Amino acid sequence: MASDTHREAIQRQIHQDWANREYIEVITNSIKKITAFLNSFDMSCRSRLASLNEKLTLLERKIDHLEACINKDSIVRP
Amino acid sequence: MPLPKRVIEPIFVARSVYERNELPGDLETVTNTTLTNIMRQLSSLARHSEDLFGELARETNNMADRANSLQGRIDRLSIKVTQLDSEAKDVSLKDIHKKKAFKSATQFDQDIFSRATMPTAMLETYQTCDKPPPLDKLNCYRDDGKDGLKFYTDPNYFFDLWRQDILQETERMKNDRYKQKHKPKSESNASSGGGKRGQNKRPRQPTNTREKQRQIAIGHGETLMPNNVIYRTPNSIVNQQEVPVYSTTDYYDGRPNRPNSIELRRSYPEGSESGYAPASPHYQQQMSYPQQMNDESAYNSAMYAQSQIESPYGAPGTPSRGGKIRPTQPPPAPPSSGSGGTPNVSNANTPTRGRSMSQGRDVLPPPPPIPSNISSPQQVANGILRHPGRTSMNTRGDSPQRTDLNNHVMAQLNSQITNIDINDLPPPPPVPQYHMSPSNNIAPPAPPIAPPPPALPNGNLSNGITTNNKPANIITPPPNHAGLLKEIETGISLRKVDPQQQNQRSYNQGDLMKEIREGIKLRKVEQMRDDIRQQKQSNLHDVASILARRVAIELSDSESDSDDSDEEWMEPNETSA
Repeated sequence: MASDTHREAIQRQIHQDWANREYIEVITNSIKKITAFLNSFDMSCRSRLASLNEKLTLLERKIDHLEACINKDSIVRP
Repeated sequence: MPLPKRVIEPIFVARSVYERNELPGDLETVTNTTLTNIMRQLSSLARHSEDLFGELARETNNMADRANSLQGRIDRLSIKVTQLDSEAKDVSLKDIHKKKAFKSATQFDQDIFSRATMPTAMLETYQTCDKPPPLDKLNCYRDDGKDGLKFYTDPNYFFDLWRQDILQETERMKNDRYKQKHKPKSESNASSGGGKRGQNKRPRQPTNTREKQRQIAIGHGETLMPNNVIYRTPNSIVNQQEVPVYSTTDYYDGRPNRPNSIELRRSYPEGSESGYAPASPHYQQQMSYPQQMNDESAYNSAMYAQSQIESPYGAPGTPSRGGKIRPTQPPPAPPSSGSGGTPNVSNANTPTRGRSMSQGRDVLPPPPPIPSNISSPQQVANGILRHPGRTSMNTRGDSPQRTDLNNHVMAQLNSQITNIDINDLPPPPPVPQYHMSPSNNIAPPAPPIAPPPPALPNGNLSNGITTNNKPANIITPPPNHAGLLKEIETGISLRKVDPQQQNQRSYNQGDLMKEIREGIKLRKVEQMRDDIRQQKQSNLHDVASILARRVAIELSDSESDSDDSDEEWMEPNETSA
């Protein structure tokens, strides 16, 4: 009897341990997912920001050019 | 070694130090430890994500700001554009000058990968790295002055590599351009090198313009006959043909002499300034060159006016030099033996060397036979070296035209003599007369005069006349030896002639020195350029300046053109010495 109860206790502990491990596994998996998401988010954000930056730079140059053209006229006029 | 940007800290969550107590508690302990480590991971993840989002937010804020400012500018621009009236287009030239040049205020990203612009997460990762061993503390024990740490790690290694590469390439491009610009010039020099002796600039200029014109014509698509071939061959042919007959004309043989003249110029300051000829024969030869040049220049300055008039004859009348022979000609018999310079030896040497050495000195009388007991090597050097020129002159002195020319020179010199203040000059030593006598002796009209006794030159030596005077005295007779004959016969104006010559010679020497100095200055300028270049190289530590310099060099074609033309102008001065 005692051996049976001891074995049951051990089995319960092992089950519990398995349950805990599964729980830990879920948590770590979710952490991995979070990191993966954060990484991909970071990457996509950065790429988008970079493309946006490129466009902005282009626009700034164009605006510079346009401003220079118009200011030239405006300076010459008076 | 690639480094992850962000590392979530406890990597092995389940690993820890456990104590072996009892089995049932064991599993729980492991689980709890793992859970705490997971929480640590989560906190680390939160921190990193905060950092990540913070960076993204900062960048997006920057973008938003830029976009907002851009929007504002676009609005302003649109307002301005709507206000613009297309009719008012009176652009006056004055207003154009008043305007400022457009300059973009946009700053582009620089130093993207430098330590300063490194993201904070990366910086933290870097800071966790082990520092290199402090090898730089051993620098004080190094002899070569290198940084000991750079043997272990050198963050700037690749940049330095790139910098050297780029700079060398830039220098090479510059040099190539320099060579390309100077090659045709040197060729033209070689082809037109000789020209008239008195005016080195003259012959060179037309050839340059011809080259330029030719290139321009070719550039316009015209095909030209190969002028250069026709242009050069006659020279060489005539040169070779005339060597035996006229013993060369000055017109054509200037080219081979040029390198030597440069050599002369180099060796000149030492020899002339010290006024002391060292014992080595080679040095004596060098020493004699400048004097030859002096003679030549003196002669040319005197002769130039008439060579203009009697151009057909004037040029051929100029000294004969088998310049080609001269460079390879060994120095005169070494005087080291002291008594080696016997008259016989010198006479024997003269004919062979006559053509080679007689540059510009056809008018010079033959040198007095060298005294047998000459003690000073310099005297021997002067005597021997002078021989060739004089002997060759003698051969040509026979022609009546020659004497005519000499008479012209003589008349000119006499007119100049009257203007000279003789007091400035050292009193003419009695020796010159003796030296003159050889000229009388050799000159065709007065053969009867006996050659000077060797003892007289000795007396000259013993008189302690300065070395500068000696060559002058020896040289003086040449230009007008035909006229000198008469004068010597009259025996009066001879001393005056000497100071005159000497004065002229010293003047020419001054000129020469000036030119030499200019030449040296020129070289110094080049060296300064090199120094500046090196300084620039040492100063070029960032990419922008290096690239800017490279672009500047590529764009500096027109400038370098002007520089080259300047140098082309300057070079005749150098080589004219």
